[in-house]
Amino acid sequence: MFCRKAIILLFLFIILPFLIITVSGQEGSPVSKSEIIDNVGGRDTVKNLEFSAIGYENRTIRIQDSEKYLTVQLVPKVYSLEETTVSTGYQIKPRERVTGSFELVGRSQIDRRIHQNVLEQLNGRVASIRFDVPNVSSNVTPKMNIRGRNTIFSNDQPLYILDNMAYDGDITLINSNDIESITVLKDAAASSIWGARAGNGVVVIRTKAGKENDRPTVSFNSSLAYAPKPDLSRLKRISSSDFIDFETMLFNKGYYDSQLTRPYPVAQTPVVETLVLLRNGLIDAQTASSRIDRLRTIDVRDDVERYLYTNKLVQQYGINIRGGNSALRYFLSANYDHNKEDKVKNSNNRFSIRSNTSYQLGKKLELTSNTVFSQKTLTNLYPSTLNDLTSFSLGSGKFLYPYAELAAEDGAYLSLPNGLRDTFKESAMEKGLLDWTFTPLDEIYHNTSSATNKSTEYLFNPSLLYRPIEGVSLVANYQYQKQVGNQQTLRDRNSYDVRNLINRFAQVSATGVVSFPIPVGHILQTEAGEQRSQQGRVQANFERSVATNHHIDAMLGMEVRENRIIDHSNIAYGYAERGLVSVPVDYVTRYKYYDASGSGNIPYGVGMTSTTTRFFSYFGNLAYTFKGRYSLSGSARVDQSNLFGVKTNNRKVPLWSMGGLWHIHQEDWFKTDWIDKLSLRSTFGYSGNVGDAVGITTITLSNAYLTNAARADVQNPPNESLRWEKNRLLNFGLDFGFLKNRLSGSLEYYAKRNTDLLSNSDIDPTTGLGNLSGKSVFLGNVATTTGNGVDLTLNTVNIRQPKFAWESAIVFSVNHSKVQEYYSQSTTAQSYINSNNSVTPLIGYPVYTVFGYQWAGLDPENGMPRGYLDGEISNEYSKIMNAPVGTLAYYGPAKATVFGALTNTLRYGDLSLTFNLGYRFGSYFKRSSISYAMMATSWAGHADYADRWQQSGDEKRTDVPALVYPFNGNATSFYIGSSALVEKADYIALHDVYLDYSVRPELLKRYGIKSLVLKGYVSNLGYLWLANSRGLDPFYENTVRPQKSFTLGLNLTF
Amino acid sequence: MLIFLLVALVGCSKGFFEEINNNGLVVPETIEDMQALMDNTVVMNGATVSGGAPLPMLGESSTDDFYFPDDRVNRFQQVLRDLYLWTPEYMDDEQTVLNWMLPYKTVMYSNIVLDNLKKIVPQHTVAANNVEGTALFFRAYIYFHLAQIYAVPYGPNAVSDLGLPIRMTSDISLPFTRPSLAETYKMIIEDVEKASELLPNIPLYKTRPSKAAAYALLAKIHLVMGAYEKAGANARRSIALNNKILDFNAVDKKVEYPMPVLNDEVIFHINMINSVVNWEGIVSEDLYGLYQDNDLRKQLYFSPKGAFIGSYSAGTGLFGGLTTAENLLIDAECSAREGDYVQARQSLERLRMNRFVKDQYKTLDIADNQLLSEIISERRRELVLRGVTWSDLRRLNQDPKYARTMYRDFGGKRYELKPISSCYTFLIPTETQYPTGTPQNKR
Repeated sequence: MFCRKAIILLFLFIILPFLIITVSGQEGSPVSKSEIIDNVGGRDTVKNLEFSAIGYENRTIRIQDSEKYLTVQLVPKVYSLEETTVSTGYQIKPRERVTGSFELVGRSQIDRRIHQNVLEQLNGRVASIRFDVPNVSSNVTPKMNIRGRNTIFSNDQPLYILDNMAYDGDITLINSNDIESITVLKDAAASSIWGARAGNGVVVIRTKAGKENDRPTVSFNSSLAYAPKPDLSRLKRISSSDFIDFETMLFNKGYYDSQLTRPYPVAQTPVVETLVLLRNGLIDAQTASSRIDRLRTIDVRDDVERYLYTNKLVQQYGINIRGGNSALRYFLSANYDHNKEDKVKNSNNRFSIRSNTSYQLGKKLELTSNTVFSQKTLTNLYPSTLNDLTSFSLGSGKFLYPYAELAAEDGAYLSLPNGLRDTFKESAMEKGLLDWTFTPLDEIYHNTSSATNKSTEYLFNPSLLYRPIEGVSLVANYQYQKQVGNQQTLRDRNSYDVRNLINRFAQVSATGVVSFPIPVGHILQTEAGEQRSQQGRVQANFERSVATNHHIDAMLGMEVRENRIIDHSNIAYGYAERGLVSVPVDYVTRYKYYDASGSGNIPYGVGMTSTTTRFFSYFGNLAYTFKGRYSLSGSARVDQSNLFGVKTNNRKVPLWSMGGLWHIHQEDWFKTDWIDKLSLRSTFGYSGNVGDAVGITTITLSNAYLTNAARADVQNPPNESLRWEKNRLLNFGLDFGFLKNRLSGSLEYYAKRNTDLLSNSDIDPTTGLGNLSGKSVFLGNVATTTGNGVDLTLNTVNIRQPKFAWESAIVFSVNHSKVQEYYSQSTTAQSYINSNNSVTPLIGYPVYTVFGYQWAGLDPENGMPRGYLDGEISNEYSKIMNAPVGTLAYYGPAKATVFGALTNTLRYGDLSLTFNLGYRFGSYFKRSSISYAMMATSWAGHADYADRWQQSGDEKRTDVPALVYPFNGNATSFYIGSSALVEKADYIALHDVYLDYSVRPELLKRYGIKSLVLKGYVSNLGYLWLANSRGLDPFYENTVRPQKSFTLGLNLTF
Repeated sequence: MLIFLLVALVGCSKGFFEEINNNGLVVPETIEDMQALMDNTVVMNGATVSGGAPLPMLGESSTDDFYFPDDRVNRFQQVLRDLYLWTPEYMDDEQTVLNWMLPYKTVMYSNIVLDNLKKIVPQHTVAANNVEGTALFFRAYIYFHLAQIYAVPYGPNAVSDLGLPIRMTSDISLPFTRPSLAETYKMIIEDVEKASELLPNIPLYKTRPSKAAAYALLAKIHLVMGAYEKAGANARRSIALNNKILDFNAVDKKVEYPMPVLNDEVIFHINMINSVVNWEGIVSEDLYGLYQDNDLRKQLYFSPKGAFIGSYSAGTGLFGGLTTAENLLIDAECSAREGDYVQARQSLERLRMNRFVKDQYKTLDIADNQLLSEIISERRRELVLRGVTWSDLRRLNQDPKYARTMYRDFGGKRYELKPISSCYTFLIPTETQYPTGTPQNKR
């Protein structure tokens, strides 16, 4: 007997090396295997033994004193969803009773992905969310669509709710460390309770809170992320040698002659200057060619990478304490982040403190108060083009030429041509103007101008909860939120930017006296914005089970909201920090520019704007559940606002929803071993989207011509019917769990119809609206789009061994949209040849489209591009471009129609590894290519130059048109808009990987540490597969893309 | 926070939604704001060189008083050439749309004021009455002029003929109808009559209407309707309030545009939409031959090259307002038609003595039965390019005695417009037929 039981126990230890046995009476602290052996084997003080192991249900065994051996059988765990409640911002409901479509990202997921931007937590985890760009950056609120775009021209971003109240500020001020969960409300039943602002979906963010009877827990987080300098070599830029040949050709054809002979000549590149010297006989041919040949070997990207970019470092620290007793629950946290960006001299930091406390005031009353202070400071180099390769400006619309040198070989900083020709600048300087040379690295490292943008948020969110009787609660919420944005741009007096401005306005008198209307000194630009939002809500909740079979859950409330934004800006010339001096300037006089390019006033940077948005809403919902199996829900909300027309306000037509839910698996007749869950849901309803339209008459005031009496101009004609955009949603959902929930998830189908979409539209001129070009347009509710799609979330437990587990989560979405009605539609082809992300609606097509001129290849005779006109091959470009839209080749949408992610998590003991794959299919983009005329004027060219057609036969290998001079602008426009450049945007990428190691608690016990988790996180890992054969990045085709980022972090809990 | 909620809830009843979203804009809510809208001289009176004016110009461009050389007509845009040559079918362009939209813009301003006035207390103050009268007057003035272009001439079939699309509210979302011609004129007359009760005798600025202007407008309307007794009576009521007349002997002839703006005889100032006729048209022999050599208008109205320089808006556009001279002419015509030749002669001579070289002025020596046709001829001489010539053609062509066929020569071909022709009515721009479905005119 002894032998057998011992063997069983031993066997258990072998197959469950991570079995944790807890002995009662010892405060639940885990014990090691050897201790267990001792305990079980010897002493008889032990009463209870708790067995726990990954993948198995815990089991507690009571040991008889006399018992020497025991058999323990652990039951495999039935996996359940981590979070069982979802929050609408008004109510927190158990998931099994909601009819609507919710997606939840819980704390354990949030804790694992180390990212500054809280919205990145949704990336690849929530079906239906498509970020515009898959790499969410830390400082900018990323643009995203939930279930596609529901509007054409209005705001398409979701409504954010933070702790039950609409959040009007900068979402990037919120720190992920403070977040408990994020719920995404996708369908009408979920979101229509938010009414006229919910049309784009709602994202409900809940912060952490203390728990009742929880001992104080201190948690500390820290991480350090590193990303190398951007890789500029992948950018498709013309080689220096090719560019020099191009310039030489243009020089020989006299392209630069008129620019050079002008009295105020524009700056030229060193090659052109050298050719000028050669032509003027100031240098000999050998000197010229040796100078030029040296330049051929230079790639500006080497210097740019070296001096303008740096490695990115992000440090994050956070500490919080939480706990609670019967009278008080609390969560206090402080977070600090510091980022050194990959552009030199750009950095930012973020600091926040938060206090979430709840006081139990007697048995029936509870006061909760959330108070937040947060601040974000961004410090950037000014002008921002100085540390950016693609926008680095050399004045007069010119950019860094391919062989520009920022520093000599000995490290000395070099000047570059900028704006005007050096010879002209030298003569100006001789006359007494300020130094006019432009030395980029001096601008960056010596005369640094910087723009500091500080945003501060104060948020106070108290709420009072009163429970007079069981099942009834009255809630009053209030939120005061103030965000103050302060932007200061200090333009250094020695910076080129300031010197150039002062020189441009310099006036030279007939006697040669130079005066500076703009004083020599720093220029300080300030912009102060303040947003104050107040919201109040009273709400009554009722929740009760009647008899055993009926459950009723009802809510009724009203809400009032005001959001004021005030913004003013100022500019101070001749600013000196010492004594805060500034010099008054003459804004009235029009000064002639020194370079005779015209005249102008000194830039007047004083401005004020102010907006007030007000909402008053009332709402209610009702849910009834029978036998826990059948639920019906309904909700309605009426919004009134100063944004709408009077009629919309008066009509009080609610946005409403209805839904039903059936838990099939709970039916008596439905008893299957392998099905744990099978539920059907369906909802239908409306939500709205507020546009920018104003429905009431507005005027601006001035003085009348001829009489000088007060004069008013109508800015906004009355349109009392102007109303919010309306989104109708139909949703079917199937929730399932099979094989003890080893396979679980949900499948949803939805169909949407978005009506009353706001757009500028033609109107009957009889209304009197219109401008002097005879065009009568107004902003009205004139468009309709439809959308439909499928969201699939699938969680699988592939391997569940005691030692090893493998789980997968598949997120898969399909989304199609179509413009159904649109009143002012352009009919010419060229209106639809737009860059990838602008909208030109066309009935019958998606909102974002990729069209191209039909491509007939290059002309074998001369290498010019060819298209089709009336079915014939043609080179009549302007006729092709103005042909009807039907002549275009349609490729497909510019936004992916199939997208999602695959997450795999591997656990081995205390170690877990997760990797996320992201994918998108079904969309197209146009790649960039060469425009010869633009290269001549901007100095920036495309690498396709090397592939251009040069002789007959080349048309078989290339689509890049021949270089002809004079340039043929229409040929270029046609080529750039042609289908030759359309590529598939489909991809599969490795989005991120995270590795966690939880240090065994028993090892930490002696240090008083509850838990220690070490984390590694790698993101932006790049593409695994791209549909286009050229390997082009659909999002950063020819722009600098975010680099791989490596993060190490730890989480320590006491 | 409950206080905030309570305050907000109380506030909801009034004002909470009325504060405008963008505080840089103002919601018109005071009498001063309404007056300022009416005093927008650009929109209401077209008092600017560049901007559009509220009175349509298509009619005046189509009389044979002015012509263009062939090479100029060849360079015309298609629609302008079609209209010049009285082509029944023509395609809209921006000019034809503006001729429709700009008048209706003035109507919109009036409607905004009339809609908002209802909300302002106290009502019926002197200031409120002036604003209301002004808005009613402008609306009527515009509709009257639109009716001369886009509706058939007023005649026996007015009850069944189509009038104008009439907008009596500012809300652009509300549909509107096209009532009969009789109803259209009835609404116009009601507006002016009501305005005449509300307006002061004499306005603060001549860009604002007055009682005198309202009576003058009533006189014009009744004249067009052939209600000569009412027309004459209203002309005389207007003259009773303002009988000042400009002596052309006192006008400085050396100025490029000699007629002073807002001069003594102007009762109400408003402009017509500029057109190529204004800048480049050449006066026809037919019209120019109607002036005697000692008629000061011959040199004050026309440049040596034959261009029109006699607008009461000087160089800023074509005057389409009301003058004492027009009142005198209406009084003269109506009196003559009623058989009161003494009154007719008296009014006509009052005008003539201010138009001829001082010492060369002689009273007319013609028989009573020739007087009416002389008055009609005097109207054509006096009221050049003010919209009146066109409406007179439409009115008088119905009477064979005064009917006139117009001719144009272009490209070696002679074009004509018969007295009774559907080309006396213009097409409503096609833009308007969508989405409101306004019925189109026959042309």
